[in-house]
Amino acid sequence: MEYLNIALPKGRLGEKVYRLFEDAGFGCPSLLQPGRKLIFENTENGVRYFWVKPSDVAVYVERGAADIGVAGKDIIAEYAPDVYELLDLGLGKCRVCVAAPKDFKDDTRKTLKVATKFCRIARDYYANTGRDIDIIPLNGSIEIAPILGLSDVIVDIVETGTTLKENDLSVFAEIMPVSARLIANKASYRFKNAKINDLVAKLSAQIGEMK
Amino acid sequence: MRYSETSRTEPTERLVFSLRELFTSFGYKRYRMSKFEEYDFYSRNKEFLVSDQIITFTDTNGKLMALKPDVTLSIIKNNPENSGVSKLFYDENVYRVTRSSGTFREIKQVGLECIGNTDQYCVSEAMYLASQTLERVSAKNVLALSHLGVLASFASSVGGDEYITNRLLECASSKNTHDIDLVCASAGIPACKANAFKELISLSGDPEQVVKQIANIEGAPDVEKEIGELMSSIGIFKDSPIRGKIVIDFSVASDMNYYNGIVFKGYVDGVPDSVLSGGCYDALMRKLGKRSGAVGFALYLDKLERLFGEDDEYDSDVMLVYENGSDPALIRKAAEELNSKGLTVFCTSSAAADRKCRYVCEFKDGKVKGTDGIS
Repeated sequence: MEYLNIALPKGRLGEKVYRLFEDAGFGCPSLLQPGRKLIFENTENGVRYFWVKPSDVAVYVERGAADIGVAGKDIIAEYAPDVYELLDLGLGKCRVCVAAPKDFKDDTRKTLKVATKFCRIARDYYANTGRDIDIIPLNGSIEIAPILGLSDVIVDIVETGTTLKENDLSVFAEIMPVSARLIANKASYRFKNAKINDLVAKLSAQIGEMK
Repeated sequence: MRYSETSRTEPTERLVFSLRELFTSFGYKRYRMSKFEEYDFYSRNKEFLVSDQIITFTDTNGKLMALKPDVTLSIIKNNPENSGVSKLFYDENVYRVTRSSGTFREIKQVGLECIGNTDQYCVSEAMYLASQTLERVSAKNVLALSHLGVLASFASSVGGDEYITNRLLECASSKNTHDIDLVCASAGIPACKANAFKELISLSGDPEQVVKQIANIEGAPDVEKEIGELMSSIGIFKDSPIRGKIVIDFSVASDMNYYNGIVFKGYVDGVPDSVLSGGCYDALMRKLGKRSGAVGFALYLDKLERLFGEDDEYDSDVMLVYENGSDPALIRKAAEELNSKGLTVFCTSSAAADRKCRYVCEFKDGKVKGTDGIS
């Protein structure tokens, strides 16, 4: 049987996304059962799901290990995978922002130190503004970088703003809105076209109903 | 698989031989190139290269040379313009930084170029050969076509400047219709102005059907001439079983600095990326100061490794283990007897654990023992 291989991001977003797929008729009941299993198949509707790290979904899809997957727009913008971006699922909405301590003032005589895990997004954003920056790549707890004097500002995901508030940081600029996107491998789109189009049509209908 | 010259050749080598035959049968002539070109040539034309990083070295005469990162540029440069057409094919290595590794790699390309007074037939023939090339790689293939003139007309109809048009083309190449509203909003363009463009980039499938759908797009610009070119070019596939493997898809949005008119990409099942890319590149010819037209394509053999990756289960058919001190001439004679049965033979004085062979035979007292299972 030819399966449609779907990479889902582990975590809360992945579970919400799965519900959307399930409601569209692409369920796989074993997927939500507790355990450490990462690959699940449903022979009835020909789908195979994998749970992967959210930042790896685009890699699985681009390299063809998965035919389709769900990745945040932040990840797509950062890694720029050569994939089709077929739908905005409207889930996991947040923003990529520039944040800094509340009293921050940009001293344009100096190079701006930017701590982030989104190096490409930050570089592109400041390249468009013409500001000279020094990127400090970090993988987590970005918020503490300006507090400890490691950076002037941070470029990071802001969902509710609670983490920023608790660390006395404020949003100074919004770089891009983020939401979960359905992505597809370009070759899979050719060879599993009917199945992918069917899924896209059904998911679109689901999203339309949610709006 | 028994030994024979063809069966023991690497699949990619067999493919290259077969493509040479194919291209030659269509009157294309092999074009052999030097591995090097003056660096200055590429530095002036970096915008046409996949990556602007080039391996350079200083030649004995003091000239800064480059290992070729691209074949087409060199062919155009070195091919004098005349009133006819030059039909050339190549089978060359290029040296580029690959996106996946971020480091330089030697990439083998096979492709063809038709340069000069090109016409509709030349374009159709190149497409036909592209589809035949894909057929030789795998029967499960798709050739996706687009026309950059159609894409550019629809993008222009949205009404933005060059920056906006480029962002729209980026959206087209990823079939991303949802972010087009954001692109329009950033330039103060009403989202409804992009509806026709969104519909265009969503289309994919059988050429006749797609053309009908384009005709029904509300607010579509006049692309009758371009659609006519597209449809005439696939006329060459009439009554061919390959016709069903041709699709029109406007996500094939190649670099407009290089290409113009018809462009195409080839896919084979089992490889996650396009394995063949080509089209009309009159735009590149103009930039290089040439008046004539050109069409061509390249097949990226490095991408086929995955497809052809299934190794033989055995390293050799027979491991012939001889006694120390055996007469080399007799060992050779015994091995040749096995060779004559179409078997590959690995001769060794001690059974090698890291070598997997179908049969293990002993060579003792001038005789081969343990050949019972060998037919």
